[in-house]
Amino acid sequence: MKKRTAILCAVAVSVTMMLGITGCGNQGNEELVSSVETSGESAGSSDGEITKLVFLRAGTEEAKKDYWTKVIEAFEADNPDIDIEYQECPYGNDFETKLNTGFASGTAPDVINFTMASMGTRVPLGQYASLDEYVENWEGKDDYLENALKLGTINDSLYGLAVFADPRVLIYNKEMFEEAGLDPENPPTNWDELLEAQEKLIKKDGDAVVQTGMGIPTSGSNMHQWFSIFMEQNGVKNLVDEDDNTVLINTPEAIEAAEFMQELKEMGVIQWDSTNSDQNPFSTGLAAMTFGSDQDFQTWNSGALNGKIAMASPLENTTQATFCGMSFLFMSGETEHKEEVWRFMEYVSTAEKMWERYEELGSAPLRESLKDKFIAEDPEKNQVIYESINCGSGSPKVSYANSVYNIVNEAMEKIMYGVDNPENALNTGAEKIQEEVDSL
Amino acid sequence: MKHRKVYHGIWVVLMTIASLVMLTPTIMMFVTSFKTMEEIKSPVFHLIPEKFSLVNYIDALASGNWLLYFRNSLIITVSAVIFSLLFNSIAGYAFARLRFRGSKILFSLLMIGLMMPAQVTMLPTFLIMAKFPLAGGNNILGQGGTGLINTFVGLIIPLVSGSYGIFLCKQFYENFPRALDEAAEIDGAGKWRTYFQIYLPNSKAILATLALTKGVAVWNDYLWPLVMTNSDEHKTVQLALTMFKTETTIQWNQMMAAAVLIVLPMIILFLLAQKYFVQGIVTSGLK
Repeated sequence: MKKRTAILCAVAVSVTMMLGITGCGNQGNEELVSSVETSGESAGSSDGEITKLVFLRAGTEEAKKDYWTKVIEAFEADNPDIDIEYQECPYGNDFETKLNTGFASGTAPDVINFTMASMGTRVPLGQYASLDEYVENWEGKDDYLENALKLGTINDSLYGLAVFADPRVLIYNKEMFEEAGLDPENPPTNWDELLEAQEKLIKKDGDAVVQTGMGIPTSGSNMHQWFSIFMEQNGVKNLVDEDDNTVLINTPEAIEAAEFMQELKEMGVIQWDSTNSDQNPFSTGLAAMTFGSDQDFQTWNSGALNGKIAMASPLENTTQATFCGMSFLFMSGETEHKEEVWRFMEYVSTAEKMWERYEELGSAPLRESLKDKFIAEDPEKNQVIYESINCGSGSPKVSYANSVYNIVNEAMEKIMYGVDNPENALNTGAEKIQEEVDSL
Repeated sequence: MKHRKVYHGIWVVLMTIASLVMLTPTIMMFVTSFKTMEEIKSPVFHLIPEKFSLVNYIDALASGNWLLYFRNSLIITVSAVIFSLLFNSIAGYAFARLRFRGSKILFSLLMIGLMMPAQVTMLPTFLIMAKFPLAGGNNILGQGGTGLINTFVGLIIPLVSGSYGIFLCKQFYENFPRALDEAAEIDGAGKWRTYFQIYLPNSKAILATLALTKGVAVWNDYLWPLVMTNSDEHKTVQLALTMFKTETTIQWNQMMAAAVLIVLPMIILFLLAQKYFVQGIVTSGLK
């Protein structure tokens, strides 16, 4: 019996050791956490040390993966003392989970490509490092689009270096404009003209709307974006004031914006869920106008709407404004290789790399020196994109931003479905947001 | 007799409706995999695609290294199932048949584990894997490297144990007549021999049930591979499905085509183990 037990123990120990060795034998895992290791083959570094960095990107699209892989390879060729491991993770909660696990376990990536919205939560936690000391003497600072730098800033400190701008632009169907007797070369520029166009473009079969003018959504997780576009066009800074946490969704101007959206809806819209832009009735020719991203424009323009659609400058009521999402490069607050991380960020942000990004992915360059060249490539479209980036503002960079979105989405759905009037719905929403602010 | 027929008829109708409700998502997945994006987005819904085409399957498979993703999922699932069957049945046998100090407390602790959501234990488990001694550049104290992160071993180890499996096996073995143990003892068999030569060969039903539930759970697991893997080399099929999703859009037709291919192994596994599955559920006292 004792002998048998001893044999079993020996087997158990062997299995454990085997598992351990298997783990050791995996080359990939050694690269997860940045480290410095000695290599005799290093050509570029005088002391032969190679710094390993981990770059984590939000999103899993093949085109962007190919782009980043190529940039990393080029960077490594120019900087033989730095080795970067590329990692990616799907957008949204998955990415948050991945980052949270990394930071909680001390295995966070060194460079993070993520959205502006993440700044509100992660900057106060020290998970993103300030870039001020690096940017101070950086030649690119003065050339960067002012708004792109502003959107990456919290409390006068720069944390994110913008790489991809994603402004919402007014996209309209020229063919439908012509059919409705509107001038396809003169899209609406303000709310009054939008209402006028909406009236002419709506087609009904009895009570059912079969074609609408402005394809605004009536529900979904992006209602806050649509509301913030109209709200900011009416002179409101953002959903909440990042500087002093003042709730702005129930200001008279914001209520007026919600009433305007309600008016558009009551004139006749085709209901859709803003969570998924695929549902946008504009894409199927059932709406003549909508707000969409440059990517949406490209997708729609390559399908059945090819050649029929165009972009227009952001609307204004009192202020020309739109929503502008922005993807940034962040330096991890936990990285031990800040200098190396900055070298990579600087490399990615050069005018040359920005232009390459435009050529490969169609993303707008964010440097003033590239403005004319960019607009000259496609004057009609690129001028609009440039204007939209410059006047766009993004998600409020506050730690309770997600609650704000949920509360505003709920309020907007109530307004759009006539459950509550704009004033009541937004006042109720503002109270809920205020509770979040008070609990900080 | 007449009443029985009426009740039977009502029962059949209710079951048919329930089956249809449960099958609807699967049917939708299957038909969507043959549609074009234009048809999916069209305001007019057709259950049957206007034109059947395999192009979604071809495009989906061309968009990534699916052979590798299937291989990875297969390695993880098969390993997790084999090891969990072994460990769970041994532990179940011990709790059912061996008398040892603290067995009741240990079993109660296991039951607490049964009620714990996976999300709660994910971070501690991740830390244990990251600090695994002598692995991934770690020293004996588990420092300096990345432990078992981004390895198959790290993905599999936390999956091989499970309160549910132990509980199921314990219930199953408690139904075995004690005379079997006594006969084995008279013949000079020890506890290990009794387990391996008497209990294990008679455990087909419970092992099939466990293999099926564990297999499906591991194959479909998304969260654990998401936090544990960092590269294509270890990506599972569930993670690969996110390739069809961008920040604002989803390529539903290709995603559904890939999803159809992903569920196929599980359907085959279920068909093979169906007979034992029902038997196992009944004999372990779970209903």
